[in-house]
Amino acid sequence: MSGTAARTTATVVALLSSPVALLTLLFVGPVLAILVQGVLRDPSVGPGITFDHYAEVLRDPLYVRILGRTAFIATVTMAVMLALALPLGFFLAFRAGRAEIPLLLALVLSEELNPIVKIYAWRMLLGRTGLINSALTSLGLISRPLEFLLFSSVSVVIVFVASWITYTTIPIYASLKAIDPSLIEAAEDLGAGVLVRFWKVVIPLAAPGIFVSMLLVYIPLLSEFATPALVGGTGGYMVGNVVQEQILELGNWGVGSALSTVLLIVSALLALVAYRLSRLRGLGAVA
Amino acid sequence: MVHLDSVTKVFGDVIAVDDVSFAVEAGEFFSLLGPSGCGKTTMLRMLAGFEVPTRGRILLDGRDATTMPPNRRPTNLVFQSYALFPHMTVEENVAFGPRRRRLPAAEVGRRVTESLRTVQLEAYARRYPRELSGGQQQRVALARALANYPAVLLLDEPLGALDLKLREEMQLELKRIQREVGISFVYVTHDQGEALTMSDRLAIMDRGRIAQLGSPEQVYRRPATVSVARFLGSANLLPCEVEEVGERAVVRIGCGPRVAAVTGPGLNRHDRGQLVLRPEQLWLEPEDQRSGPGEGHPGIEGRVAEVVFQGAVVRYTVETVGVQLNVSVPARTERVGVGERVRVCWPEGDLYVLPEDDGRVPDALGSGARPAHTGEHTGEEVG
Repeated sequence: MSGTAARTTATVVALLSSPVALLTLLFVGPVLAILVQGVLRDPSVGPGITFDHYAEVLRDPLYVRILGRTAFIATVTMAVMLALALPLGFFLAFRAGRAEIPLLLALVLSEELNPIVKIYAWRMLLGRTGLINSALTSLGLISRPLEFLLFSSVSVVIVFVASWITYTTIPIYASLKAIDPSLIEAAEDLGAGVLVRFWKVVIPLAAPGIFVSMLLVYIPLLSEFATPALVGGTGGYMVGNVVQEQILELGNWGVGSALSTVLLIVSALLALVAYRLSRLRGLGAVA
Repeated sequence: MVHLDSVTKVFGDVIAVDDVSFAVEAGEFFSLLGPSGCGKTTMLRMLAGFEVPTRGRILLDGRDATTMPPNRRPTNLVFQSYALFPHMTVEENVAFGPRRRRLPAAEVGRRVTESLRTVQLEAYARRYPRELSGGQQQRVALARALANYPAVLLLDEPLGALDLKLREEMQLELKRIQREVGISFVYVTHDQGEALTMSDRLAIMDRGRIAQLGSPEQVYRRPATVSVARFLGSANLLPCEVEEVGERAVVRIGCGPRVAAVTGPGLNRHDRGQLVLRPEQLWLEPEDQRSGPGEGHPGIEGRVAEVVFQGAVVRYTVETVGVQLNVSVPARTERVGVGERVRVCWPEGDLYVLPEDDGRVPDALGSGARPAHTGEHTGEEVG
């Protein structure tokens, strides 16, 4: 009997060893390369280890400002998305009825559109002569086009929200769907109005889903570079853009890697906080 | 306390509740009893405010509450699934209602302690619902509702998920609590034993209407319709012809014996009727033995088809001419075997005769009686 078990274990190890090795190589390898690049002295200066790149990244007011702006844009985006995804998820889970599955499909399919096409579509909508500005002008609501709509942090937030709303909504929808509707009725029966029901019953019970969607969305938002590059202009410049510029355009691997590492550490900390929050008293056990 | 006035609820093309009127007195234990799909839960949800009647009015505590939202009503509902908040302790669950009323913290605390004492769970205040047994969760649900001091407590099959022994304990417990707090209980169940044990009065619902309303004894002894008789205590029904009506009626079974009985409303001489024979009213005698305690008692001959030992009683199924009769006798009496020919006997008097079921049950409540769904058709009229 134990021979069979040992053989099974050996087979499992043999079968899994090559994919595990491959994944380790492909995932851990690049991370290690970045960590190493971040502390290697510039080849033009000579060989050796240095923390100059980190010092530059954390001292230069320009980098600090871009780091701050990145955190700000990601946070605002996350807040806007939660404000949209919670009611949307609630509607899908409890009120949509027969429309539930078609709406979910629409939400998922919108994600399948090519992201570059979507971003260009937003440029058409948000530009000086875009759909929104011309509509507002012809309605007489504004006399000159709104400049902040494109090539600013506002346009980055708008396009982020549109691109990531699926990933925010689906986990929240799933955790709302798991709530017994009679809990919400019980709260109503006990005298709770709509806000209290949402705040005291729905949100705490959906917390695991909310934290999952924050993990899924907030962290990738921090390192995004395509959207800010295409609609951000100088006002929407984010850390991802700096990394890209430093490494691909200036060949400055040291600073690029140091910035990446800072982002990695911030992301890890955020993930840890989200994980801890989802384990708060009572909440984790609901799922 | 609760007044329903011609309440109707339609979902799509289904009439869930059809023109129902009744009243529940203050401090009364009132049950809505019926098979699943009879409209009893819809009725309770209209009382709680989760459904708005399509037609008709609901008065609570003298005020029109037909369209009042659940969070404004002087009612509280104990859910079938208990619906305890899993992220709150027992204490927080019970305090939820009083806190919504913005009561001072001391009063909230007092009510929590009081409610938990009523259901004997003071020691569990700091536990989470998942750490409690099903019966304890049930008590928390009850305490949470009682802490709001509702004028009417609504209960939706609250004992359905408990095992038999616990269910029987909780029936007595619920009755004690109801007497103690002195408020009206409206209790929905499909379990006739529960309804008969606890209720002051009960309404038997069938296909969206009230088939009969009365005290447990009235509806058991004087069922208004064939379907009520079948539903409550699974009565045997023996076709007969009415020869005399009234308190001292005489009916004739087939071409067989004449039997003294009491006839229900809507029966005239020479009508076809159904003699109601409760399994526990009947006993068996060997066919060839006409002496002994059964002598002179009316009865009908048949063959034992099935014998089931149920502990305190033995249940026999006896094939007679055209009808199967269920007979339930105390287990201590001498056993009769399958295949033996026997005589099924019943006592003289106290038998009840109903009009024959014409198949359209809610409308077949007896042409002579006032429509039963107005709630005025009680056992007293026919008893």
